[in-house]
Amino acid sequence: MLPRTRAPVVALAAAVLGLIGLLGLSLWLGLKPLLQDQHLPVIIGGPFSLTNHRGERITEKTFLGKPTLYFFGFTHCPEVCPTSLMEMTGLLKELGPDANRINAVFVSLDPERDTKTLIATYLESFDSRIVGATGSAEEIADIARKFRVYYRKVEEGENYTIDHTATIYVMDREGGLAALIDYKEDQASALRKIKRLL
Amino acid sequence: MFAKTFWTAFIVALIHLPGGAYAHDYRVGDLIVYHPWVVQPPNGTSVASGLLTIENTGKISDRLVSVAIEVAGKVEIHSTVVSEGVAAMRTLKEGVEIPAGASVELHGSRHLMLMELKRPLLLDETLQGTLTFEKAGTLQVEFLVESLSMKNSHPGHRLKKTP
Repeated sequence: MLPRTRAPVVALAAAVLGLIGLLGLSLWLGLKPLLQDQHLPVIIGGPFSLTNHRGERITEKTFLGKPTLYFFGFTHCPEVCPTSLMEMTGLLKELGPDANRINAVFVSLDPERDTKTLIATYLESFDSRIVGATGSAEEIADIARKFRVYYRKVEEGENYTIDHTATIYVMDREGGLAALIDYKEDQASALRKIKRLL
Repeated sequence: MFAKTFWTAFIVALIHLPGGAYAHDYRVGDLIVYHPWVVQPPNGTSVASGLLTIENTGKISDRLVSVAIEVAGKVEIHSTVVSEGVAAMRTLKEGVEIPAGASVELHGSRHLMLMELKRPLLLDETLQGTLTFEKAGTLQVEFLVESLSMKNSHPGHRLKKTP
C-alpha cells in the first residue's frame, strides 16, 4: 500500500511513460514505410492515362497481356523520331505474324503541337499497328516520370525542339520493364529482345 | 595520293551502284557536292532532313554557311547527338567546316533541317536548292526526294541492318 502522498506521482510517471511509448510507436509506424522504400527496386513503367490517335482513352491496362514497345518522341523531329519509328516498323515486319502478339506505342512528348489528328496523319507513314498517344502536359509529364524518360524543351529562335530519351522500352505482358533498345541498335539484337518475351 | 584517288573512286562507285537511286553531283571551285537529297518526311509534319556529302579537293579549308531550298521557309544546319540515350539537336550557327582534302558527310548526326515546308514532298521529285560556301560562293543544286528506307543504301549511313 503506497502512502497517499506518492500515489499521484506514480500515476503521473505512468502517464509520461505511456505517452513516450505511444510517441515511439507512432514514430516507428511512420518511418517504417520510408525505411522499407530504400530497399525497393527502381520501378519503370506504371499507371498512366493518355489519348490515342483515334481519340480513345488508353491506360497501361490497354496494353497488358502482350509485350509492348514504347517510343517517346515528337512529330517536329526531323531525324531521330522518323528513324526510330522506321526501325520499329522494320521490327514489326521482321516479326511477321508474331507482330500481332505485341503492341507498339509512340508517345508524344510535345502535347502543345502534337494533336491526335496530327499524330494520326504522321503515323500513316509507318506500320499501321503503331498506336499514337498524346495527352495534357500533366499526363505526358506523369508517364515520362514513370518511365524515367528525360525530355526538355529547347528554344531555337521562334521554333523549339525537344531533347529527349531516344530509347525504345520493351515491357513484358505484366507491364514490367524487360529490355531497352538503343537508338540505331542492331536489328537482330533488338529482335532477340522482343522474341524472348513471346 | 593513290589512297585518296582510290577512296574517291570507291565513293563514286558506291553512289553509282546499279539499283541505287539516281545519283548526281555538283562542283564549285575545289568543292564537289555528292547526291544532295531530302528524306521524305512522315505525313503531316512540316520538317524534313536533307543529306549530302561535300568533298574539298583543294588546299584551303572552306565552310558551308547557309542553305536555301525552295519548299522550305527556312533551312538550318543541325547537329544531333545521342548521348546516354538522350537525343539533343542543335543549330550549327557557324555552319560546317569542309577541311582541305576532306570529305564531309552531312548524313545522320549532322544534317540539314528543312522547316516550314510549304507542301508535302513527293517521292522522286527534285527541289531547287542553293548552297552558300564562305570561299567558293554559291552553288545551285537539286535535292532529290527519297524515302527514309533509302538511307540504308547511301554511303555514310550508319544503320546496321540484318541481311
